[in-house]
Amino acid sequence: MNSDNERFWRSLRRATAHAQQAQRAELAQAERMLQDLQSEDEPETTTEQREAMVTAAEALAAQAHATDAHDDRQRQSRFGGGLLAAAAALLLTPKYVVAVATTAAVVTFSATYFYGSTVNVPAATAISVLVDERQPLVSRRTALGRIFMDCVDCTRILQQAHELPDLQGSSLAALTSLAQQADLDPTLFAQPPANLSTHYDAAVLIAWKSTMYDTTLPSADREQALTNFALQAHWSLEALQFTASQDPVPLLRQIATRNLARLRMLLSE
Amino acid sequence: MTPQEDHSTAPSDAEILRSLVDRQGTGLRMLLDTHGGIVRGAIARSFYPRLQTDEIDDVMSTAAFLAWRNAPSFELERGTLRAWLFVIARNEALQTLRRKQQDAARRATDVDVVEIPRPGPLPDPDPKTGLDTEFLTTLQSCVCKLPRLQRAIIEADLRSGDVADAKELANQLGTTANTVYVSRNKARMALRKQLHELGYDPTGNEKYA
Repeated sequence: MNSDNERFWRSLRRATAHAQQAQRAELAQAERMLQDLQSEDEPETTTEQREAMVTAAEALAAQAHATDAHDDRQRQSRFGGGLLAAAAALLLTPKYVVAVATTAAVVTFSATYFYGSTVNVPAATAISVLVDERQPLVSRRTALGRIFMDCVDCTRILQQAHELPDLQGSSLAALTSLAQQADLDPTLFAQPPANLSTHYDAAVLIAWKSTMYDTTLPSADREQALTNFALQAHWSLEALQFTASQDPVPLLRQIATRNLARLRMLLSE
Repeated sequence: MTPQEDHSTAPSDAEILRSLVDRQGTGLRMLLDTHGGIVRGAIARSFYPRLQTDEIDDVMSTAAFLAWRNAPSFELERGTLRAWLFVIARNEALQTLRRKQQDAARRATDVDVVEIPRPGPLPDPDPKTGLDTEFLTTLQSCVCKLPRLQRAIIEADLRSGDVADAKELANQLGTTANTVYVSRNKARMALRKQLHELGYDPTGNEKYA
């Protein structure tokens, strides 16, 4: 086993050294291409475009932070002597579900990254912040990223529910409804119901998904769990539509419009 | 010269890389403020109208995220940050383009063909472009998935060029040399398994040549 490991390591070192060498050439070529591609009449990247890039990249980074934090927690609990039932459920939960979970670890990680923003607030609060023009722009655009990711997660969970024969019909109906909603002209947005605030607790998410997949439970309970995801996606979508069509800040309108286009593609899968 | 390219005030590549590696909240902004404009312009010139403006924005934000994610694997002696960001963005743009072409082909069988933008200049004649960056970033992401101690050992080994001194490492990491040996073995096994699952086999050169 050790000699296998040694051989692997030597090969890896060789491959890495080769890749590093090749990367030098690749980067030199890229640098030349960049110079060739630069042009005097090139329109400058606008502040809005740059802000949109930063916001979207930060949203991805926040999600990765959360996933890393979750993975660390999971490892610690595994080696810390026995898994909790919830952790067992987490193992069955795709990364993108737990990526938005508001656990204590996530708060710690993200707080250093998005301090002063709304990344870890409950979903209903994030929606309220997004549609409240008095809130700081940084908070509103973070809320927007967060809401978009929530909507993607819920949609994907609904798509996964296709593999459950008895929930196939309900998941299809929910997705069809969401797809139609995504295509509708935006309507006047109403404040989200307060009970959404409890939805983005990791334990609640895991419980919903576990319920959906537990065939020993009454079908009404499993249907309700599925409905919870659909409801969450519905409100997120509505908030995005409202922002895309009505928000006075062009940057937010632009990001929300792009997010809606991505959601439409996802819903058409 | 655009404001973000004003080198008198712009942070150096070393500062940006440090911020990215340290996971400081400002790292991504510094990277995009300093190099995002030039790289975005180059990507737009290479890929527009095959990729629309919003798709180019997506490519850029994903590329910046990947740079943030893989910053620990990058060394400035290999090249500039903007060249690295450009290579990542270009690979991302190519992937987006492929997905888009596949989607268009699939849709064309179902509905009337929609207007497809006229192709621009061929963006990438070399299919191997980006392979080395891809391997290095894949390796980095596999290392990131290791438990903390194993990760620290592998990173130290990679930095040393072969195998870092176990006693020295044990001192730094507050553990024993024996634990370092055991963790190193476990880390290598885990790394090998992860790379294999992703189609990389450094011993057999299946994907990486």
